[in-house]
Amino acid sequence: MALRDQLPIAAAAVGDAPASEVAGDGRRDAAAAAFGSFTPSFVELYREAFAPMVRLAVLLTGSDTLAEDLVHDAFVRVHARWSRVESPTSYLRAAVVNACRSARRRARLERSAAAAGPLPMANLDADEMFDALEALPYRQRAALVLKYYEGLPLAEIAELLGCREGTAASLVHRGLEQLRRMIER
Amino acid sequence: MNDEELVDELERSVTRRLERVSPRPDPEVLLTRVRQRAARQRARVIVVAAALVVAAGVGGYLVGDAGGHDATPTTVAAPPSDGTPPATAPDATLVEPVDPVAARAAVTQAFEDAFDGSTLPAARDAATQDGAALHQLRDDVLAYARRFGYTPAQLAGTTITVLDVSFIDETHASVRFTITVPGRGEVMVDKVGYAVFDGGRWKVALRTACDLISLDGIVGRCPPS
Repeated sequence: MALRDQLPIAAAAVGDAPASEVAGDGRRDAAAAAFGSFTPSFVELYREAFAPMVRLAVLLTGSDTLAEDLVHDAFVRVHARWSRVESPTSYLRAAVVNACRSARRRARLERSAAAAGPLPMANLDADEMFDALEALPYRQRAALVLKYYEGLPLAEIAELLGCREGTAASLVHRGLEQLRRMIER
Repeated sequence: MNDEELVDELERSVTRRLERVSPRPDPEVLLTRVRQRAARQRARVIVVAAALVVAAGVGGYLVGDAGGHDATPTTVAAPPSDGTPPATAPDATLVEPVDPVAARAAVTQAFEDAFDGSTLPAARDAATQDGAALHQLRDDVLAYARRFGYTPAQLAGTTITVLDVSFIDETHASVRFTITVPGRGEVMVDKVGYAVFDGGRWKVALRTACDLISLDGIVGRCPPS
């Protein structure tokens, strides 16, 4: 079972809540009205997949705020292609992974433009392992997250990262090696 | 630390990190973004449509029944089967028709018949190589032009001015021309197309007509050569 599915917080995901409750007490009507603008199957996906996708994005970007932002954008993309997408969940996951990669690239460019400064998505808490994960190159980090958090097979990881299965395996291997070096340093 | 211990530690770390994450779906945010995207797409379509309409002015050709055609030529080229000249000239000496003056007038007339908005359909077909093959394309582009607000009068008022005719050989000529649309002025200035001597008369080469009408393939499909 993927780590994602074992997390206790997954059970508390708002995805299980009725549509009218997801946006908080003061906004029930507005939320319900907004949901009414979408097809029921899309609403269902949104409710079920939003929280897990945000968590995935948090692991890929390190930022909660950015993660929610990117996941909303990914849902907008899915919505635009709703009638043509064969597997909405897979499409959504791919959109999230791609968005996170783009966000990392943008952040890197901005950092180099601003000449140094701390990572905007750096973890403030002392968690050596997570810091090490964040320090990995994006593809290694994504490969580890997709394998050990999402529990995806290498073939699917390869597809998401746009590489061959062997390369995905190598990314996982090198990612672990790198993590070990950083932790044991 | 072996791989297993490392992965265990990684999973614990991930779990700790995610315990602080409490995402809440917000359909209002989603709806706003969906609407923003739709607005951006509408704006993009309008920009593209505006560009196409300018190009479309070109095509009084299609006006046909009263209407016109959109067209966006630049320099039109194509294989010999659709009327364009062979890629390589036989030699440096160009061979003109026996009566170049009459031939030049006939080529000019063919382009005027083909692209002037007021030409009757039968005359337009006769002035175009394989003209009947373009009916469907003409209809498609007419509908397209109407969708973007082109009026039949505007399309019917389209005129072409042939600037120069140069013979490539006895049966092919290159033609420089400018197309003018009422209210828009010269929408295509000094463009190049080809004429071909086909079926006993000079005609606009099929590919030239097709590329003009279809806005270089943007609207509709040219018939196979």
